Amino acid sequence: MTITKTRRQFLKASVAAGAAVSAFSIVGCTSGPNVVVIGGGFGGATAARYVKKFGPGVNVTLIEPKTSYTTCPFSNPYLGGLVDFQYITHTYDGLVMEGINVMHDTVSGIDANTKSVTLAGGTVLNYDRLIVSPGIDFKWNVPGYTEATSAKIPHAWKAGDQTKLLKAQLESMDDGGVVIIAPPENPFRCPPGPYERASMIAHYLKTNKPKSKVLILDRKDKFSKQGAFTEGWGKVYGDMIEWVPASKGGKVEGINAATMTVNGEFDDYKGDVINFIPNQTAGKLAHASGLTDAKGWCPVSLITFESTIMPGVHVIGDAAIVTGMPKSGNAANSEAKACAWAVVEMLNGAATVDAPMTSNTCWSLVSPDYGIHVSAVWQATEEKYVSISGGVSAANLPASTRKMEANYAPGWYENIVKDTWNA
Amino acid sequence: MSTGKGLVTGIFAAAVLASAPGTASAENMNAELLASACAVCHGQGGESLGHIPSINALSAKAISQRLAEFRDGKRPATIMKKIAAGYSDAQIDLIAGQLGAK
Repeated sequence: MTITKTRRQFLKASVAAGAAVSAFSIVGCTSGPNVVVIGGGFGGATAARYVKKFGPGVNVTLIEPKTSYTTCPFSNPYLGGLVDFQYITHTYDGLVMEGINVMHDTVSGIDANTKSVTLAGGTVLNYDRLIVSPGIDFKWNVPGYTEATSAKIPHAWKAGDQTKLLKAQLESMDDGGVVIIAPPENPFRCPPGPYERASMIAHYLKTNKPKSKVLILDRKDKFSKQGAFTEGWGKVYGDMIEWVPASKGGKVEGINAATMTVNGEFDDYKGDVINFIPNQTAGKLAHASGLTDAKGWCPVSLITFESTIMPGVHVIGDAAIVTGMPKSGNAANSEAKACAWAVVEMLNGAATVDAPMTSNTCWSLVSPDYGIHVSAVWQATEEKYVSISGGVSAANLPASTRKMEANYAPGWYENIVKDTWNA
Repeated sequence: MSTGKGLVTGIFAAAVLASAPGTASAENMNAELLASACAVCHGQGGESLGHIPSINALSAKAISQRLAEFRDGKRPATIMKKIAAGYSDAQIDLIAGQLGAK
């Protein structure tokens, strides 16, 4: 894998330009409909950009507490030592530059009757359409694993300090250690993610601590891109990575942080580093705002992404129930565009909105020279997203193809980051 | 790259009303939304930042032709065969018309 862009220089350029334009964009917010977007991840940032693209006369406000966003995509290559932290961290200056009003604040309430959002800072924003992209939250329902425990046993499934912590633990581990990764049950953010993580950690260990081992204790019996990962692991890492499915004892029933032990259904496993990834639910804001169903996710129209619970409020990304599509950054980006289109159509007074097509392309790195993909195109219907085409990397492809796909991974990353944050 | 669309356009509303609710066809699906999918890999306006080829220098005709070749297995591909197979001839032409060098 080769990185082609110096992000440092790029960010510097956008900051300077962004500062010059930001004052102007606020002055411009006088007429035209108002769209408020909550959440500055792949879904929210893309929605903000594309509402502005599809409806240049719309005033778009994006609310996001953080002043920079660290992506889950490429956080595994960061753990593997392939890219630095800055490569996966992006500011909102590029959005400001495009005339989006970015407010770094926290939402304290959504009122669908008065069509207003109240911020912790006291500001009340009126909207014609609201788009919410709240991401995920964790279920702390495995005995012994709490938010406090994650300071010793990181989940690293929201990128940031948790990712840095896991990397620091890998770096301080002795050669010959065991790294346990415990992926969650379905549905969860980024289905191939835990297995790319196993690959990237194995790459780091093979390079620096070759007597070590990666043990995957899975709460499932199958996983995304399984055949392609398994083939790649054997070719690149021999028996360094061991996968224990749920039915063979991989099901985690408890965690003991004091003894660094994972309690399986049949056996206990000791780890020198443990990466436990909790089961997931829609983000806190979705729950607090009443946008979730009994299962903890947000039901929406699959044509417009408007909440079936709260009119005028659209939900996209990992938190939304988009039957047929995975929860991924690319899926959130694709849903955001379809939602932005629907929102602009509705603001234009359109009586109906055409069912969109969406797509998702995702590369995983088995090693810096070995990439695999999954890709799909969907057609929305009222009931589900119907897969029109797609598939996973074939078996036994030549090394040159694996290498080419390993280079496509950062190629995709750099372009989708630009498409999402203009960064 | 993106032309956007004006707010409150009568022509647009009429076009939407002409289609059956909740259905998509090549005729009524908007080319701009359809083509926006390509940007995640091929960059803004088809100008790629990294290892994935740029497509901004290709004409609409060349893009149509290549997508059809990918779909029909006549051009070597890693993932483009799978992606191109998701679209009809008419949709491919809409995408190409949107992305092709002007």
